[in-house]
Parts: sequence; C-alpha cells; structure tokens
Amino acid sequence: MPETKTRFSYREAVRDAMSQAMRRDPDVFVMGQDIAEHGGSQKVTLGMLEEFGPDRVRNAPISEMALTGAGIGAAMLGMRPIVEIMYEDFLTLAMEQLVNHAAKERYMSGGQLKVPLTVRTQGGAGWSSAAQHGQQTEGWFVGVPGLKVVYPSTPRDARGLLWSSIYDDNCVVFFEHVQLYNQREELPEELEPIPLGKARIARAGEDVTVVATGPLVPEALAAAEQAEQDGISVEVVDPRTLQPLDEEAILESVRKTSRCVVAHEAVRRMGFGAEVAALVQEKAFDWLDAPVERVGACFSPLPFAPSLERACIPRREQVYAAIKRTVGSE
Amino acid sequence: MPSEIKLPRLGQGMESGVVTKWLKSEGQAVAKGEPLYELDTDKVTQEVESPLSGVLLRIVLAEGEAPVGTTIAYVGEEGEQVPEAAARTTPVKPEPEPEPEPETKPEPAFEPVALRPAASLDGAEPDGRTKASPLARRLARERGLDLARMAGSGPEGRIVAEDVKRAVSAMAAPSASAVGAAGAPGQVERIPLTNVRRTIARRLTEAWQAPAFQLTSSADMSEVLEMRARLRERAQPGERPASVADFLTRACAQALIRYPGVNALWLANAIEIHHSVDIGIATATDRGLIVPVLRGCERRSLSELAEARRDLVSRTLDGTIGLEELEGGTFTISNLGTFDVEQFVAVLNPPQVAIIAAGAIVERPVARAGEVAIAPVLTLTLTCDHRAVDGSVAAEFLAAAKGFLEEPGLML
Repeated sequence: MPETKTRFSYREAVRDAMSQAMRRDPDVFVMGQDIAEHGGSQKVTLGMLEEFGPDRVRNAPISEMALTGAGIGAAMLGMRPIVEIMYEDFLTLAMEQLVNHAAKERYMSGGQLKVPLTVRTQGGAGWSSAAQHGQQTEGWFVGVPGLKVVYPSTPRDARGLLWSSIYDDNCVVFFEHVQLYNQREELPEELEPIPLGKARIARAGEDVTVVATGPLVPEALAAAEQAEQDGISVEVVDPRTLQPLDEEAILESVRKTSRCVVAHEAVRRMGFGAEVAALVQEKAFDWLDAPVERVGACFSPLPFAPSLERACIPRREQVYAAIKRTVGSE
Repeated sequence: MPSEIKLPRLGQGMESGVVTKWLKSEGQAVAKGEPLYELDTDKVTQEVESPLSGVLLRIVLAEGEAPVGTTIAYVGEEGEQVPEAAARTTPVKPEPEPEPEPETKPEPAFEPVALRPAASLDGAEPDGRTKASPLARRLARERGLDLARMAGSGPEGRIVAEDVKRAVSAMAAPSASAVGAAGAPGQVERIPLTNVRRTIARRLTEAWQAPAFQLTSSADMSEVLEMRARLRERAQPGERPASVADFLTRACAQALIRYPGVNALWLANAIEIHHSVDIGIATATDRGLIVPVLRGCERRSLSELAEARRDLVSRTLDGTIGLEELEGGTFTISNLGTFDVEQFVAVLNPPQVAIIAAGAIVERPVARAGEVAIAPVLTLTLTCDHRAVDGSVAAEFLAAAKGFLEEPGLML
C-alpha cells in the first residue's frame, strides 16, 4: 500500500490524534471551555463537534476545578477523557484536582483505581498575552509524583505523544505552545504512536548539548545553525516527556559533548532546567568541561508590552550566547 | 554573580602589590584581555589585563598596597549587585590546595618553567587554588598530569579539557610540524601553541624586562683540548671521557663558588645567594627548549660531572626526565658550540641572575709571547641581571671561568 503523506500543522496533529482515538474508541471524549461550536480558543477542536456530536465534544462551564474533577471521575469509571484547559495559567484552578486526586487515586486505592485522564493545555508567551495568559507552568507539575508531563515541539511528536497520553493509564498533563500551532510537517496518514519517556535528538553535534523544550527546541536549532558558523557543533536534545524524563538520553549526549545548556521558556529560577542541571552534575560530573548553563525567562511576571516581553523571554539569541559561554568563547 | 578581581601574583615571591591607577572606571565595560589597572610590584610596574569580560561594577581598592589575593574589584553583568559585605577591601585567606589525588604520580611533563604562581595572568588563581573543570580533572588524573602546572584557557582561567589534551599532545607528539611537510607555495601553516611553547614565551618575555648587560671574553682552549685528547687515549673500553661542555661546566662551577654573587636568584624583595651550584643545561629538544638542572656541580669531579650531565641530557631528550629535575637552578649554560655559532647572547632565565652563552671552538690567530699563533678559541658571553649583579663582579667571574679553561689544571 503506497504511503500517503499530508502536511500537518501542530494544531492539526493534535486534533488528528484526538479524532483518530475517538473514531477507534467510544471511551475517548473531549471537554473544555468553548471547545464545541467555537472550536476552542486556539481552534484545536474545530470541526470535531460536527464529526463526533455534542455528547463527545462537550462544552464545560467556566470552572476548571469542576471540569477536571469530572474528567477524573469519568476516567476512574473506565473512560479515557481529554480535558482542555484553555490556558495553562488556569491550571492553577484545577491544581487541587490534579495534585490531590488525579495524581494520587491510583496510589491511594492500592491500584484498584486508575486515572487515564489527559489534560491538554496551551499557553506560552510571544503574543503579548501578559502576566496571566502567557506563563509556562510545566515546572509546577513535573514535581508531583503520580503525574506525567508531556511537552511536544513538533507536529509529529504532538500527534504521536498525545495518542500515547490518551492510552496511558495515568493522568498526563499535555502542554501545547501557542507559537507552535502553525508549525508544519509532513506526516503519514497512519498515526505513529511515540512512547512516553523517550527523548529525541533534534540535531546531532559534538561540542555542546542543548536540552530544550517546547518553543525553545526550534529556537535552539536556529542557535545551533548560528553556532555552526563559528565552528561549534551543537547537539539539541528534546526530552518531549518531562516526567518521566529520559535521563539516559541527556546523559549520553552530555558525556559526548562535555557541555550542557538547558533552555525553556518558563522562568529560569526553579525551573525544569534546574532539575536537568542537577541531573547532569550528579551523573555526568566527570564529563563536564564547563558549568551547565540555564536559559529561561527572567524572574518577573510576564510583561504585556511587546518590547518588554521580548526582553523577558528567551529566544535563539540567549541560547546562542549560552552556547558560546560554555565553550569559553563568549 | 559578579566575579572578584583579585590582586594577582605576578612572580614568585611576590607578596603584595600597589595599585597605582585604574584604566577603567566603575560602570565601564571591559573586555577580557584589555588593560584594567596598573600594578606596581617590587619588580615592575605593569598594566594588568582583565581576566574576563563584563562591566567594572565596583573598584574596591582604588589606590594603594594590598596583599596578593585581595579582592580589588568586581566585574559582572550590567546592573548586578556587588555583595555588600565584601565591598570593602579584605585580604583573602589563601585556601589550601585541594587534596591531591593520592595515587597520582606525576609523569614527566615537559614544562620546565611552568611555575604556577607566575602564571597568574594566564589562569592561575592568586590564592593558589587550581580552577579546573571536572572533565579536565578526570583527564589529568587518568594521564597522571599535574593540573597545578597547567595554564587554563577557559573562562576566568579555568583549565578545561582542551588544555589537558594540549599538554598531553605536547608530550606525546611533539614534532607535528616536522620539516619537509609539503605545502603549496603561499600556504600558511598555523601551529597552535603548546604549553611548553607558551611557557617559553611567557618566561622569556618576563626575562626581557630585566635590565640586562653582556660581557664577552674569549678563552684559548688549547689546554682543554689537549687534556681531553689525553683522557680519550686513556679511556677504558666503554668509558666516555669528559667533553668540552663538561670542562665548561666545571669551569663555571668553580668560578661561581668564588663569585657567589653570580650564583644567585633575583626575588621580589631580596637577592638570594646560593652556595650550591645548580647549573641549568639549556637543551634543545623537539618539544622546544628545556633546561634540566645539574645539581651540586661544585662538588662533582670532572668525570662525575660528565657522567651526570650526559645522563641528564639524554633523559631530557627522550622525555623521561622528572619534573623536579627541571626546577631550581642557580645559573644556566647555553651552548650552541655544536651548531657552529661563534658567539651569541643568551636571554636570562629568571629568577636566575646570570646565564653564559658558549659558541663553537674556532681556530684563530692569537698573539702568544709576541708571536702570532693559531689557537682554538672559545667565545663566552655572559648575560647578567643588573638589578642583582654589577659589572665588576660579572667581569671577575668571567675572567675566572676563562682562566680555568685556559689552565684547566687549576680547576681540577
């Protein structure tokens, strides 16, 4: 059978994973605010109401706690719900349900219950969404035992990882970045599941490893191109799943390059990158030839003014500068 | 975090320095390697380069004297806060050297003069701590190299893996630029500096700052050559008699004992006269110039000297010489006689105050008892550091050495 390929945007890839699961499996359904007729604030679920009907593409009232709690309940009773939280900033309102219930029920019931819930959420900076609609909050969830955290950076990864998240028997918090929705990639019609907990080498290199997540993956690739002009060979590792983390892939890369930069859009302080930096110094100390560099947003509420927002969040320039520092040629 | 700029140790024995002038003001950007301030030491006044790039956040010691290791300024990123507690000048207590790896036995490294304290400007910490990356430490440990003898090329002088690899390749594959490598006309070959080459460059540049003077004298070597010929005749099979170089070493040793002012070291705050004659033998190797030290020359007979010198030089050439044999000389002989050079001027080997340069023995017409005769003549040129040695002492020493060569019986 000849394989047909289609160009998918990241947004379409997310939608395709949900739709394919819903076609295959009546237990899968999606709910969230304005996701039915309106197609969601970022139009990810656009058209799904027409295909699957209002019972399976459900609008929810503006209560993230109730929405998430309903998802947990359905999951414990055997469904595989997908809950969309409009912006990841609003995960704060569902925190109690996620941290104390979704993450804990399987453990507290001695394995009698499971919570195969996928909480999709979107956000991130770069569009002047200000301090309450553009934060990156994945770092708050990677520290909760019992939750899995996924953050894809390409259409292929988004589709394959969302599929695996839906079919994982644990609660997965699935982060999507608004700046990535229009990224395009040719994908086969046939969905290729990508296992959780496996990193991807986005670019192979010799001199320095950049561990990047979300939008910092394409930014790191651009920085790597620039560094290449200076004769610096950069390897870019995208963990894709932040929890559980593919430690060995990161360590293997750092043992090869002896230098490490960690880059994410969330604030640098106490971020996911701090955990990676700790991992690297714990398990690859004798391979390090330079301190681990961290690239992240400055420790400030995200500014509304575009110029200030640009100054606050990291992009390729900051990754490039960090690469140069680790090789000692700033 | 802003980085502390500490008063560096610019030479062995330097205890303190006087900041005389800042070349940058607070708030100004400074690039790594740019002159940052002027420092007056007991030896010299010199501009000291910034060890890193950034903004000069705070000058702690605007002017005046402070011990080595004192924080004199902070450099960091624009707007960074300088820790208040440390904002005033407080001499920093030297940290003890990190525990050396007990199982590590330093292999012979070819860095005869890579004395760390003097290397402050190219990487050593003024407090004596060795800053090295974990990888560099592991590589050095695996190869039995001593990091304390390496200069760091990383940020803030940190020794990085590249520095260790360079040191290793300097030992293992010294003559990468072998003669005869075919190159197209106009092609330029770029040879990265090895540690040995860096050290030679740094030390000789340092030596060049000394106010040096030269004295030249010629010795009639007829007697030495005759004596050597007799020694050869009487040599047992397998025995290798003394060479001209051994006679020269013996002559210098005996003259130095009589004029110890030339057998001395120039320190920052004192002149150190030595009563043991430890002569550095400048040796050309394919790794560059290396100066092993022949100790206690004044106590050795000519044949003992010959044997010891031969052993020392051959181990220097084949690279098995120990580091400790490359340090602590009190005088140096540089002999280009085998290269058919008639006379030349040698550059001082600090902190030694004198070095003697010997050319080839050449037959020359000489006046002898009113007659012109042909005699084998050796031209000696003595270079002295005038800060420690005056011309008359130098002249007396040179005359004594010449006398011993012309009448070798007097020195045996």
